[in-house]
Amino acid sequence: MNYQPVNEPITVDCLFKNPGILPKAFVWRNRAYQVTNINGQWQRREGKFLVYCFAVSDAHSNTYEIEFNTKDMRWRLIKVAFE
Amino acid sequence: MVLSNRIIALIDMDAFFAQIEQRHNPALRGKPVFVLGGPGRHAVVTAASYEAKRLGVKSGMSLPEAKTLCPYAITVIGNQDKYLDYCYRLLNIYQEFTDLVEPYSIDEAFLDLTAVQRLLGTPEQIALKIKARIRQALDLTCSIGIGPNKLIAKMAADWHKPDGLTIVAPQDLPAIIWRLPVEELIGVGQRMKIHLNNLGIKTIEDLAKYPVYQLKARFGKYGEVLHQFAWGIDDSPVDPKSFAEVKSVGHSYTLPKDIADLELIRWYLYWLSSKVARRLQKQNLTGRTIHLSVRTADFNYFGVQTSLPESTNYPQKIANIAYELFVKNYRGMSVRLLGVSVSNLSPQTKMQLNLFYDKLKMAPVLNAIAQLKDKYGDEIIELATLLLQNKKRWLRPKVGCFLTNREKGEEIFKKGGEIYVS
Repeated sequence: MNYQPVNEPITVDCLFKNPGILPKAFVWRNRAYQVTNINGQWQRREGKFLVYCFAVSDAHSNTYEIEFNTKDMRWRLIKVAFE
Repeated sequence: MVLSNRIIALIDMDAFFAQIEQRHNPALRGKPVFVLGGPGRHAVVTAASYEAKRLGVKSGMSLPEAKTLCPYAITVIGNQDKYLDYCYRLLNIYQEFTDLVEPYSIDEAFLDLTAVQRLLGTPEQIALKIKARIRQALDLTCSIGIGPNKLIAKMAADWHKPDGLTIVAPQDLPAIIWRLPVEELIGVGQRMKIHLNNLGIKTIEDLAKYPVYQLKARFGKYGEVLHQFAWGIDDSPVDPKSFAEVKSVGHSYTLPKDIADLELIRWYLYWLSSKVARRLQKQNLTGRTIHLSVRTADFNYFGVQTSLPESTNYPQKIANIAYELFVKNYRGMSVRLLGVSVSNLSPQTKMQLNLFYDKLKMAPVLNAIAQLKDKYGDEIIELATLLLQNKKRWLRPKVGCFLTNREKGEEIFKKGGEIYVS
């Protein structure tokens, strides 16, 4: 199991469902990744701004940590875990 | 034994950090996992999954030690924000059952179930409901101990893990706890165990039957407390506000490698002090007693403290005192861990003004820094002192003190430059 820190901007297709946000797919380095499972989610604060964090998996069982920062309303891929 | 009508539960999450990481990454499930406090040669296992615990790995072990016992474990760097968020969500779940919830640590909480039995059922039924609710909401397991007081509940929670439930009735206390070795009693650490063993006290029963006046003469008031614990006596209430009563604020850090460089040690003390000061300021607290703790490369430990004539929450002042304490006690050894804490706390409003200290001048500056951090996060601005070691690159660079242009600061950092602010 390897963890690769990334911290790069991504484009995310997500559903705002009450209550909460459900990421469905994201594009990283021009490649699309389908989110097959949201394994967990949490929040953290950056000053007064909330950051919504998600641990998601794709169909190949790779796991990604992505987050949505309300400060700049942008998504980032934080790290990737792969076998 | 004291008979009590109270029903107290202690909920302890099973290998909390490791369990969360296993939930967040399905590839980790069923495998030995170490959650580390940070990277580096001195990394410490802050939590181990049960697959690793079965091989003898314990929290607090150094990574090399743990790897010897469990070489194929997967290591994950811990994420405090993540665990804290889960902690808050767990506390919200507990509140669904009773308003008498006392957080005990990030993964443990006491619940007073005495008054909710008529509404929710027997203690066993309530415990099973709590377990089911946690599993349904967070997909996590916990172990629950139930007893007539916090002491017994805490001990009972440790007896069946993971996903355990232990209920101890007051009348069963002697049969259950007296046969245990004395170190199993809450409040008896390794050093106390040695002292008690030297007195011929090996089990909790030995302690319970030892003359209390002799324990008091040997250990002071604490001897009396331990004697009461051995009899299963603990009258402390489940206090939802107890966690809010801060007695001290501190930070410690295991260094990535042993260091003997005074300049670098001073830098780390400033870094720790700025974190302590930030937390004090956030809680509107100041403190008079500054404590420095040091673990040397050969695992010796020393702690020294001093009390100031006036209380403070200024990072520079805390750091300067901590550094003075360090220099006074420094014998040239390499250092493995540093810790700074402030106690003897009082509300900020009661601060005594000192005519000879430049407090009035610094106050607006510190206030501005606090406002910036509140708005943009703790990384936005930092003491210039913390910039001087950026070439060492052992820690992530910080954005400079009084630099309001973050991007400019980061750009200078990337070029390896140093910023001095007068």
